[in-house]
Amino acid sequence: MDKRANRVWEIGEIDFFIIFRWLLILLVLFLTGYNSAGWSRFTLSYKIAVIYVVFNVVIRFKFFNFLKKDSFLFLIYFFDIIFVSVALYTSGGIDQTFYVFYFLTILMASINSGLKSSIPVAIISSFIYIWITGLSKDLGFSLFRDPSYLMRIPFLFLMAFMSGLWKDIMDRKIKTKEKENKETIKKLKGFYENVINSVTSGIVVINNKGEIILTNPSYNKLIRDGIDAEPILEGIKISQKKRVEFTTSFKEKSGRILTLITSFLKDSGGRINGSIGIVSDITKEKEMETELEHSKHLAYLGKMASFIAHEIRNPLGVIRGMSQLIEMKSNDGIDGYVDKIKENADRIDGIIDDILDIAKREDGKKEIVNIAEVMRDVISSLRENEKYRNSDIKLKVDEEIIVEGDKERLRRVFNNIISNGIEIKGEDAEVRIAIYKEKENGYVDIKDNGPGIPEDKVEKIFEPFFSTKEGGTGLGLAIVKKILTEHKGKIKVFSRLGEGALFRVILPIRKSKGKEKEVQNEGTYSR
Amino acid sequence: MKALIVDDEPSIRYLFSEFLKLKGIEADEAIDGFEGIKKFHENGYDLLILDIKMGEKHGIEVLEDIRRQGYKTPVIVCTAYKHLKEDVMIVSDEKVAFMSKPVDLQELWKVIKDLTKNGN
Repeated sequence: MDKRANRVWEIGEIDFFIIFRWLLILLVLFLTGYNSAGWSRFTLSYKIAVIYVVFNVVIRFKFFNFLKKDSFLFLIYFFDIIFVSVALYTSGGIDQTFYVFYFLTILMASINSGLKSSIPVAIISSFIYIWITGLSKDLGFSLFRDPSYLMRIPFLFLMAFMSGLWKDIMDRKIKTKEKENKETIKKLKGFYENVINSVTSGIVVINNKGEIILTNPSYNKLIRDGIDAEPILEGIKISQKKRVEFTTSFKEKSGRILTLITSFLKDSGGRINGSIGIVSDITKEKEMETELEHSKHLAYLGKMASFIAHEIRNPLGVIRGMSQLIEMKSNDGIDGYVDKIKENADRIDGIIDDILDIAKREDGKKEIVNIAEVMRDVISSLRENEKYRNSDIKLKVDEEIIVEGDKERLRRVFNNIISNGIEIKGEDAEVRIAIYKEKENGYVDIKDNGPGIPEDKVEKIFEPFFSTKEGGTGLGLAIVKKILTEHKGKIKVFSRLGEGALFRVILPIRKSKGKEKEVQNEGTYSR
Repeated sequence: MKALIVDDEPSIRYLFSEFLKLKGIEADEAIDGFEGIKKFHENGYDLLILDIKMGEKHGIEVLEDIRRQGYKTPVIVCTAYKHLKEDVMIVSDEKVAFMSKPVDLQELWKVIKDLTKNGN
């Protein structure tokens, strides 16, 4: 940065300087010119003045930048002194009080550069004054016998000293103030920088051309973490183009949910110089929101379930029972009809069971459960069921996993996932199950060869009443999720249309209190 | 053999009494626990079929009352709430059976035969 640009009255000072010089010329012009020849235009004084005016105009408009240089200024002071002296001498007014014109030059030097200019100017002025006095024809140096003439020289110095000192003091004050201002600005800048750098939301600022002019560490981290900057910048540009500030949230390529708040970057005059985008990753919050929704849903279901259980089961029992009575009393070959009534009544009853199950509160039952054992149990009971008998179910146990929980409820988890996979495929259903361990978790992978789950439905399959299966109630997987949550477990689904689905159940392994024998299996698929 | 059906649902009472009559058992009905206990004392029965959730006095209370009074009469407790089985188990003995609704009549008959086979 240019050192001089920091001076407070930079341009004003030069203009002031120029005005001073006009004043000087006018005064000299008027006093000396008038004094020697009245208003006649052709006296030497007037000619000198005209030359000086031209000289000044040239300086002002041609060598303006030189006015910022001390050495050049000094040259000008020198010329001024010569000009004043010549003007005085030619006007023959050296014995007059016109010597005060030297004061103007001294003042100018003071205003511009303080003592370091005013004192030399005073010295030169004194010398020239004494010299031209000596040249004076009639009185010459004898003038100085009169103390009032001699006194003029110390006055020049006094003037130089006072005005120079005043200027230096002012300068020092200004410098101190500037330093204070700089420190305040530095502090403020530091403070704002700290605020911007500490904000956990990403901040990105673009100018009116759409170029990024500022980003904070949080924004850089988001980008480093693989978030695509394009939709963010696009959003900010739209805000800029349409002149609207908005808040929006969207799903980014990697699946994370982001919110973007845009606002205009305004200067102190209210002009828009760019746009600010504040970006936050709200994936976790959204997940929590979904979980909350889910549990609200369940609470509602809980109330409903109790009502349904009683109010539907009674009439259902009557329908079922009455059909049995009809069967008992008649021998007209209506067995098939009655069987259908019973079958469907049982189906309704099954649904009620599911609803009650999902609404059931965690009872905190804790027993030691061997997942492989539970799985074998589930598979063998599925094989007993006519519906699942022809399916190909294979189990591979890499490591036995022991968890703490409700065996019956966990049984239900695996039963629901496997039977779901088989039912959705129908004929030729194949289910591959793998049980293994990783760090502190037990994993159960259940893969089917069904039609797979469309990507947009993957998240919904665990919601109550959502079903992709014909005739499904949409409760089976909701129950799975609920039971796993009760067991501090998780379920993940990996699926693509046409490629089957893989359900991964993750359960925390029971922390053994003593040394427990871990059973290892050979890790091959077995039927 | 005489049986008392205690249930606040008229159609359930009707179903059970029709069934029991078909099986040659004389059936009587009561609409809640109070009427059930009153009738039980008045007429004496060989079998009680109790619903748990009834308006005034519920089935488990009826069961507790008659057992306290020393009656060993066989009792079948029916309910639409399967989880209440555990509550029934607390006050149950070998002459008490738990059935969840909807009740299968064939099952009911098996249970009745089972409970009454040694006679009272």
